[in-house]
Amino acid sequence: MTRVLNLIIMVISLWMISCESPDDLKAVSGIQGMIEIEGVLPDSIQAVALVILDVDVVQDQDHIADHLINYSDPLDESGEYYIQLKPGTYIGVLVGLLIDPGLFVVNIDEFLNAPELPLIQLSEVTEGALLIQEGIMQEKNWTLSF
Amino acid sequence: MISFRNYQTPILWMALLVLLPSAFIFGQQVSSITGRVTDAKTGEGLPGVNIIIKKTSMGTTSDLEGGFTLDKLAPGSYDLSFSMMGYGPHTEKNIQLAAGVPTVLDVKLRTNILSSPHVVVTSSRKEQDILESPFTVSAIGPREIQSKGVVNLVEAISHEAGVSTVKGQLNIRGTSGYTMGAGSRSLLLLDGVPMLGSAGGNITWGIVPTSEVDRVEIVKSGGSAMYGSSSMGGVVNIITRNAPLAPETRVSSQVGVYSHPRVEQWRWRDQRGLIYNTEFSHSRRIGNHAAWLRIQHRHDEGFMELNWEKAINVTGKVKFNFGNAHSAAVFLNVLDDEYGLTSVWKSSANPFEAPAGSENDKTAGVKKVLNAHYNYIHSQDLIIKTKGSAYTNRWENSGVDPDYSNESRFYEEVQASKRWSDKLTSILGVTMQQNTVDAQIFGQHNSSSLASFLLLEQGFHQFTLSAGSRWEAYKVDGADQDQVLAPQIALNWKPAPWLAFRVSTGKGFRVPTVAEMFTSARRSIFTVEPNPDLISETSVNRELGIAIFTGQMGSLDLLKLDVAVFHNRFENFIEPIPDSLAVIRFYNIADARIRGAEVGSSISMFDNLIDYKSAFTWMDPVELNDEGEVVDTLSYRHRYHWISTLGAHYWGLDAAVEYRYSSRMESVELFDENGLTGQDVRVPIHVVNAGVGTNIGTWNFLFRVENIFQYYYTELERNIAEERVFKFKVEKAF
Repeated sequence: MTRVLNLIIMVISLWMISCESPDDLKAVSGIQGMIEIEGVLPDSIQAVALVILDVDVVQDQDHIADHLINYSDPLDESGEYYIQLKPGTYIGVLVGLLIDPGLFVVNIDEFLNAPELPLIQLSEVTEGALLIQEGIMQEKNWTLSF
Repeated sequence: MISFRNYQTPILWMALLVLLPSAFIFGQQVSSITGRVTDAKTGEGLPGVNIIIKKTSMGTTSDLEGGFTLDKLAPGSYDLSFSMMGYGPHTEKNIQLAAGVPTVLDVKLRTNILSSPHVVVTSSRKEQDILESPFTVSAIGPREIQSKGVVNLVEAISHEAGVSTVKGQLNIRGTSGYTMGAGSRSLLLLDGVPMLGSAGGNITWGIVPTSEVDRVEIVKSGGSAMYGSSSMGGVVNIITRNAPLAPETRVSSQVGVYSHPRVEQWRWRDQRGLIYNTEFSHSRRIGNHAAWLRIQHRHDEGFMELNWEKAINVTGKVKFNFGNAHSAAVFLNVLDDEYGLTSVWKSSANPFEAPAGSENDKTAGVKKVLNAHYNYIHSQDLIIKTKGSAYTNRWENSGVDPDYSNESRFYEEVQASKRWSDKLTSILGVTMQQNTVDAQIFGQHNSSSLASFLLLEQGFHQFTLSAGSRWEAYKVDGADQDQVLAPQIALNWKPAPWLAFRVSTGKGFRVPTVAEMFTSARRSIFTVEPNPDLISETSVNRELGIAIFTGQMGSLDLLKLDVAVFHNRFENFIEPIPDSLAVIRFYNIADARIRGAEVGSSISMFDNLIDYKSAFTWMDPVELNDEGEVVDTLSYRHRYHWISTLGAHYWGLDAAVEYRYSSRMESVELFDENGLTGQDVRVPIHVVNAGVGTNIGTWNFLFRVENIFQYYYTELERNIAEERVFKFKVEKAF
């Protein structure tokens, strides 16, 4: 009786588990490095972040928000950054946040749908081409001078 | 200054009710039971066997030779329950006592490693056959704890049915989730005394003297009627051992080695991290009294950066015996610890590293616990138990966000257990608690509570009906916060000595903690702000269960089976919610419901050659709107949970393989999965541990590997769980 019950428990449990992929966390790909801020941020800029855009932005530089893939944690002084990305080709652009970074991160969806982003572009699209390969974190440092 | 002037009248009434029954006890002719308990295989006397007269709170333990005496018993019919860790349960039924005629018993117990206590004390605040408990109770014995070589009790209880932890926060059937250490819906008791932190209601597992634990009882529902706030999701009661009859000295040393990460890019240090844990304990009898002392030194370099810990823990317990009627115990624990501090990993590319700039973040603190118990057995029908406790916790954070906290808690309890007849018993009690906290992120606050509880149990035929209630009043900073009445009713039907059915319903409640009401802090890009308008959350718990627990049956040496269906409906559920301004506050969300089912079984067979323990829990944790419609899944809960342990015992070796599965968390609060980048991926949990141990004379050896397949997962966003670790433990007893 009990052996049968144990067998039933095992079978049900294995069935439940088989409904999910048992894959654990793996090495990720993306880009990381330093963002060096030389000088002092102007009062209007509350923080600096690196945003990653798809390559179509090169042909559509007036609508940057439509091409957003990912972004780094905002920094208000020089520091490390890290962005996880799937393998592919991207464009990296440094931007200045004109509002509180926490507010921006929490309300990102609303800002992306708004007519104007509370951002100011700090580097050129043409300077930021990135090639990301499977399982590799690419190292790249960026410098901003104010 | 905490005042209880408003509560004076109820206290007087309670004191009167507690003391009144003693006025009606009259002298009567008595008898006794004497006997000897032996190992069925070797015939040797067994010391320390728990012997309980069923349906009463009376009992004793066997002496060095296995002998025991129960005296001053009224003539009548008694059932005696015999239990001891490592041995199957045994009951002697219908022992007839005539006035002045002593009865002699010879009892043989059979060995069994899976055996857990047949008698539990937590669910009804008295010794009780586990099959007669009104709620689901599981119990872990010391052999199960020792066979894992655990230093932190979390490692042992996370292999119990329906129990999981998120960063050390206890979850029984998913009730707590993760509240950032600011509140718990599961109560931790140490020898029956509440041990939750006075400010955050969190658990400091480090104070538990794991090697001195006699058993752990886990009550999985409906605790509020007996234990009040924070027990609405269940109760874990850690019962420390009393000193054995013979003097004993033990020295043990455990060394652990963390593996380097399997993923080369995650490797973050040249040398493997180590764990050292050294313990010394001595126990002895001093006249009629008994005492033990334990000193522990622990240094864990951590599986990830800033996961290190250094601790010295000194624990002692003295059990005083002043004849048959009076006994007392004092428990003291001082934990001096220091540990690294990080809230998230550096990145998913470097999950074992701490964020840049936090390398020097650490916490250092001292926690002190003093618990005192005094029991007075007026007669076999009336027992009065008192408890008192003082707890202080001082810590300081240094590094990027310096912080400090000084908190203290005092707890007092009086309980009277009265047996009115063979079928009717009552338990009546009063508790008081006073908390103070002075912390950078909370400010200075105090809170206090006063509670009384009453439980009546009436037996009829094969049924036991229990009904009880708890009234509790809370004050925060001197102002009335809440008053709650939490009734419960349960019916147990035990048609055979090995089979029981149970059904129960009760009200649970939890008063918001000081941390939930007053925390003001900035963490990462988020700000946590106070919400002093929080109100108590309440719940209605329902449970239906079947339990089978028996010893020898054919080729089975032990069989335990428990099936339960539960349904918990919460109102004004308190959860931390980030708003659109990146501000986290604790809110009373509308309603919530956690329903589910649990099936657990343990078997031991072929003369204890093989044992197998398995339990599966299904839960449906959802948030409801005012109309009772499901609006979301509750965060930080696993829908499915499965634990399984296979053990084998041969050639003097005890080997075990454990498997723990939890389904992928469907909802979290702070960082959701990013489908575009694969960021913040959540995965199901599959963890396999294995170990083998043996005793050679007075030496004990244990080798164990945890997370043997280096399975990587997160329990909490951006926090990788523990790396594989190899542990080797040697213990010598003198």
